[in-house]
Amino acid sequence: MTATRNQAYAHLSRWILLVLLGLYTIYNLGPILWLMISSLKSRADLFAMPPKLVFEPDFSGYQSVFGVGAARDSASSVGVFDSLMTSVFVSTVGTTVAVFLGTLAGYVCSRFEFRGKGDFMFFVLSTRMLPPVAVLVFYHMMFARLGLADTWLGLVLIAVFVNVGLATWIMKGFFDGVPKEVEQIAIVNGYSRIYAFLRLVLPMVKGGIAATAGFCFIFAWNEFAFASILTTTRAKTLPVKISTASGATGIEWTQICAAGVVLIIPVLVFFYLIRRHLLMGMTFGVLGRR
Amino acid sequence: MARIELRNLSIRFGAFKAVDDVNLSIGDGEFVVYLGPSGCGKTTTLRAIAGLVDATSGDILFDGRRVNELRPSERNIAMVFQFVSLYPHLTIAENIVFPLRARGVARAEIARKLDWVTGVFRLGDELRRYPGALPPGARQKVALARAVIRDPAVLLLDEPLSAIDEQFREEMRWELGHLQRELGVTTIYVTHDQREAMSLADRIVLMNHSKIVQVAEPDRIFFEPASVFAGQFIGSPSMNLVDLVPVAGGLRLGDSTVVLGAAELPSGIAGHGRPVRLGVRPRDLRLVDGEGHALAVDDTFAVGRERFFTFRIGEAILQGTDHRRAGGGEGRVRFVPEGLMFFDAESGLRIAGGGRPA
Ligand SMILES: Nc1ncnc2c1ncn2[C@@H]1O[C@H](COP(=O)(O)OP(=O)(O)OP(=O)(O)O)[C@@H](O)[C@H]1O
Ligand SMILES: [Mg+2]
Repeated sequence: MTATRNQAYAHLSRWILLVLLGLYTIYNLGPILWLMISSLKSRADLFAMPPKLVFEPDFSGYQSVFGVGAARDSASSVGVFDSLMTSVFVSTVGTTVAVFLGTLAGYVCSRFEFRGKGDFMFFVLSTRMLPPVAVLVFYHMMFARLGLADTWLGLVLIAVFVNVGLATWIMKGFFDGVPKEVEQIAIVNGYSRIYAFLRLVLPMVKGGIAATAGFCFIFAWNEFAFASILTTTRAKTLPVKISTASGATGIEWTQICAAGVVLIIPVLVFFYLIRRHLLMGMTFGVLGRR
Repeated sequence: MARIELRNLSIRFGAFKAVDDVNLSIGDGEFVVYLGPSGCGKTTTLRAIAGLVDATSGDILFDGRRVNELRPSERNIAMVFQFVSLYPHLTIAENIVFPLRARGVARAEIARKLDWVTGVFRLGDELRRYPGALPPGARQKVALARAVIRDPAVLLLDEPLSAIDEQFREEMRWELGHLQRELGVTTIYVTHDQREAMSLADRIVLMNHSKIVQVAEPDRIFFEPASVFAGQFIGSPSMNLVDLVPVAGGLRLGDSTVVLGAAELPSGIAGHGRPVRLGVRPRDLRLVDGEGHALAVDDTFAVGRERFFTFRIGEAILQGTDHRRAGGGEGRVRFVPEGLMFFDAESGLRIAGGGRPA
């Protein structure tokens, strides 16, 4: 009697859970789906009322984003492809530099004691907690003075700045996970510390480096606040371009939606690749150990 | 091979003394086991001998020569740690020959050594595999192989077996002891495990609170513990302790009615003049059918073939062995005179009793 009632409850709560999850999924994925569909619609189809579910796909948006085909010529599309290139370049270089610096700093913080280490670690982390808006004006002035405003170099510096602290913390976590005996054995046997670091420790954290690079790339790729105010015309990253895109004939919706989809792709790819390590990497790398 | 000497060795980390004025001399080819509770400074001593941590004061000598300033790589030592520190991206063979690669040993020589050491540890089938594919016990064998392949003068082992399954550990312990004797390499072995210490050591160095408590052969440390700490740390089940109260005709156990008379006490103990504690191992505290003290037995239980009993004196619960015949009567408690040890209650040092059984 009670057994069947319990079963009924279990059944019911299962259904409620499924419905809630379904709603949550629609809430999250709905806009993305809408974006994807819109990126393939011609202007006429986009504004059709009631919305068209069946339509002739229009690839002009993607063509302009990737700088191919007829759309390249129209005055309105100038810049989206350039923004994509800017974003790719800035994120790649910024990530490389940030991960390089973060790996070295993370190793030092994991293995050596030095005066003010706690303060240093906190300072490094605080660069990530800082609300960008608070200091934007000063960055703007500083970059303008230094001639860095509206340049790729300026954007790369920003990408490094927003990431190096995070990279240091995550990498320190991964290094903490490598027993210090790994180097000690090498040192006792006459290898140098540099050798131990490069040839023994680094290979043991290469997964961690990849994950860190992934995170940094995403943050650099998504960075909007700094980029929006430090770039005006020439060097515009894709997020900035999307937010300001308008052409002679008004807002180019198809093109913007296509750019939006392109913007999402690296994020999807990265999280798909690390989906299994995600929870572990986050907790072990960032929160685990001291 | 080398003699090792520690002279007034102290190691500080900030205000904390991890090793406090330690003196020790270890003979060539000797197997010394460091034993002591967690945090007492065993690993730190080992690391100082290896040169991985600097002595704050005092000297470390190898064959009479001061090595404090020598780099770890110049001391001709090999280490094995509790945590397996193999390199996961190198094969087993590459891991084992790692120490030889550093000093540019010729290829043929490397191959010959590898052959020898894999024979000793029976690792022949594993050479091309990676550490991740091996169980922890086998990985530790690889770490040992890596340590001995370069003929070190000193072998430093920091709890090398404690991460291994009980069953495999016994086997490894036996092999390790055998190998050490064969190589004749001076060995310092750190452990928490007194059984490991007793079975492997030529001498045991017992440490507590950064100081050496006693250095002695396993037998002697068991039968003649220097202090209450040594007596309680070694031996299982552990030694019973009771305060003794001087009364007419002898010494009374705590607030019980049991009085140890002249027949049970070593000479001179009554005249010690300061508070005394009695230490007695369960094997020397017996519940028998014959003569003995009348005491209320709390509980009896058996561990396999051995039977035990417990009784209380004040707060303390004492444990002894039950020697009554099956279905025997109430029994009486007998203190085996040779097994009684007397400690100064304040300093904890042994003042009388103890000694090897005849
Ligand atoms: N680099 C260091 N900095 C500060 N304190 C340290 C350092 N290394 C060790 N200690 C401290 O020194 C004390 C002794 O440590 P040690 O590792 O020698 O103990 P141990 O006897 O090996 O203990 P265990 O049995 O737990 O391994 C501990 O309290 C430890 O916290
Ligand atoms: Mg230790």
